[in-house]
Amino acid sequence: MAGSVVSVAAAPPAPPQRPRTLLVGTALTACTMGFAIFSMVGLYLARRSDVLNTGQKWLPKGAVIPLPQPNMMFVTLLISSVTLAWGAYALRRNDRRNAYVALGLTALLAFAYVVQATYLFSISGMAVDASAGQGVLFWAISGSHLAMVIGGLAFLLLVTLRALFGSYRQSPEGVTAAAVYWSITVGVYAVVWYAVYITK
Amino acid sequence: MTVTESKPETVVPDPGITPAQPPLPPEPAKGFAGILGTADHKTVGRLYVGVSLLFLTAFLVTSMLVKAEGMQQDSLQFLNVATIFEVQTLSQIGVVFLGLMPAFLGLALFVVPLQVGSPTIAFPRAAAASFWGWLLGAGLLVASYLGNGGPVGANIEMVKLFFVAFAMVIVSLGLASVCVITTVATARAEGMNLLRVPLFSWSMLVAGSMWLLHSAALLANLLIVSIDTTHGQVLYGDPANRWIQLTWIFAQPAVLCLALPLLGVFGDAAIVATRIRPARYGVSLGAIGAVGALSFGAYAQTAFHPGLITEALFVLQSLAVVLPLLVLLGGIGDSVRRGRLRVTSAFLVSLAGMLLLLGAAVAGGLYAIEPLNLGFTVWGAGVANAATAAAIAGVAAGLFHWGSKIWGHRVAEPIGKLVFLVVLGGGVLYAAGELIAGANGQLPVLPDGSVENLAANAELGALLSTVGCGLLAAGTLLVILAVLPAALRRGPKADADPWGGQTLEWTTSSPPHPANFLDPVPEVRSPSPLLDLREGTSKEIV
Repeated sequence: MAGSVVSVAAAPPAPPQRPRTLLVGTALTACTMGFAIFSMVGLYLARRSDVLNTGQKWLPKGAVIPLPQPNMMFVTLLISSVTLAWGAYALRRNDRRNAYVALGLTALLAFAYVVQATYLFSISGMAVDASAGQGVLFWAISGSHLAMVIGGLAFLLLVTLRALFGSYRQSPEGVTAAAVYWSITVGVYAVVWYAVYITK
Repeated sequence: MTVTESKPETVVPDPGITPAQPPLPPEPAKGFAGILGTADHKTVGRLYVGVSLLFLTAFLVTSMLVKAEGMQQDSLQFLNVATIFEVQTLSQIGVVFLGLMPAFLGLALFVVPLQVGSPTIAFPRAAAASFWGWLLGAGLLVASYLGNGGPVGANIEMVKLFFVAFAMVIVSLGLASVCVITTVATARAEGMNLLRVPLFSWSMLVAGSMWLLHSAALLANLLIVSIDTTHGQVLYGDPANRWIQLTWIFAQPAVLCLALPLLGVFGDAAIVATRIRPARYGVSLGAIGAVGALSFGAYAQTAFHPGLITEALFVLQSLAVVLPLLVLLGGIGDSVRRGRLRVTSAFLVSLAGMLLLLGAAVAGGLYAIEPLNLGFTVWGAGVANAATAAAIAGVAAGLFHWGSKIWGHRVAEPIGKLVFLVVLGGGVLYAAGELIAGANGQLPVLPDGSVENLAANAELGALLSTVGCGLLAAGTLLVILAVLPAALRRGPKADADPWGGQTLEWTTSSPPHPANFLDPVPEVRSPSPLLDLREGTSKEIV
């Protein structure tokens, strides 16, 4: 670029302000992922209803879905959505110290969720090839949600690092987008928690 | 920098200081490097359109050949019945996911930012990534079929590859949809509220949203089927069950949303053809939105709930979708009556598409009426064929309308008149073949290639369907023939506004500058900002 002369008269007009682009794109993506999981939950409920109507038990022999872990996972996610909202609020007020603490805490809670989920899966004893298709549905739903959480965790780490390096001084759009993604993830888990873990 | 990162916002300048204008963007790289490394929505759009047209033609020809081979099952010459079924699944997937959807998305990636007055698409690198992901997925998908995979193939490794490739295609197209929707939602020019969005951009907002929902549900099906295929094949992954769980996307009502962008193409082409300000614009927007809402079909998975087609929601939805189509057609008919009609190729071809889509909707309504006993017959395939033909007409019309803007050279307009006849005739035959067989009670082919109930005049239906498919393939070839000289930069150069257009894309040069608009985008005060400029209208119109 050095030495090149740019004619200001020939330059294109300044691009218009583009607020909410990342926010809208993130919300669309997260809603699509959520809808995919809801579709699987729909198939799960339909299949469970079919099996129960034949007089059989839904959970296959040897499989258990304990309550403490799913409940703790839900609580962890709920707390993390509060800490993320705190982070976005702090960034909007340019209170960077609080923002770093809140974003770091959210990432830690998200990681804790992943650990708890992994533990739950290890003790569930759910065989993928269970004869009525329970295992396939259970693993598809819980695995997809775990993938959604891990995606959210990566997004969160990215915006946290960008905040640390000085981005979002004018607008915390990235953090707000991460918060929207995370809220949708928590909302999706609420449905999974009730449909799969609570009502079993 | 991530692919999801938005552009930095413009800093509000101090009053009294001349706002700094950004320098001209660097000249884009030429040749192969320019194609591989591009994040320009125009280049990505051209790539999508070009490759998808080739796929569309190839899969229509394949479908025709397989239909011809399968016409008399007792005297097959080249393929066995199971292979015919397998290739038919490839044709269905190919026409929809490698042909029509990417063609519409390519058009949208090119046209939508120009229509809404934006210098670029939202997430330009994501849009480019979507094209390369789609192309890779398409290649793997075809390769999986060649290796005896696909949903019902015998080679289990290739079946698994099919699931991965199909998912890759769906995710890539979903990513492109997100880019288009976000552009319409957030990058509109000053004054362009949602009631002033051009009809094609609006139709892509509606279609993209519906495609995202359907893609999500289809991905869920694919994931479940692929997990069970890999682990035990106890239920969902059983070879006899795999394909049937995915067919709802090609069936009523979901298949109708494939042709949603046609409504926008038709509306924009009609506005240009009638040369008057569109009346009751909000009603047209509402009608397109209503068709979109009524084509939601992710719940209508008859593989899991066969009785669904007799339930009130399905029946009402199937019957109601005819109404907004009639409203849209009536509104355009009124414009034709009031205006000075100039019969452009785009208008004619999109009109053919609208008639086919209306036919699909009416046939879909009949399908849902229980006493007619059309449920589970191939009548449903006839509905899907009509909707597919309508979508083909939509792509063709879009290329005749915006082809000169896309490539900067005039598209051979007279060929469009021929395309109108070929696509309309082909679409009618393509649908009629299955509708006749369905009316006679013929059931669809089973995954092993066998047919439970062959109707008395099944051969006539198959012949009509085969000829119709061939005509549609010929129609897409004619479209390629019409746009190829322009794509190769041959023939007369196109003006910025060859039609006397009313929307913002016609304010910029053909092809547009890398920054899209060199002059300031005029403030939008109505759905026809260019007409306002010509007429010197300053008052708010909508």
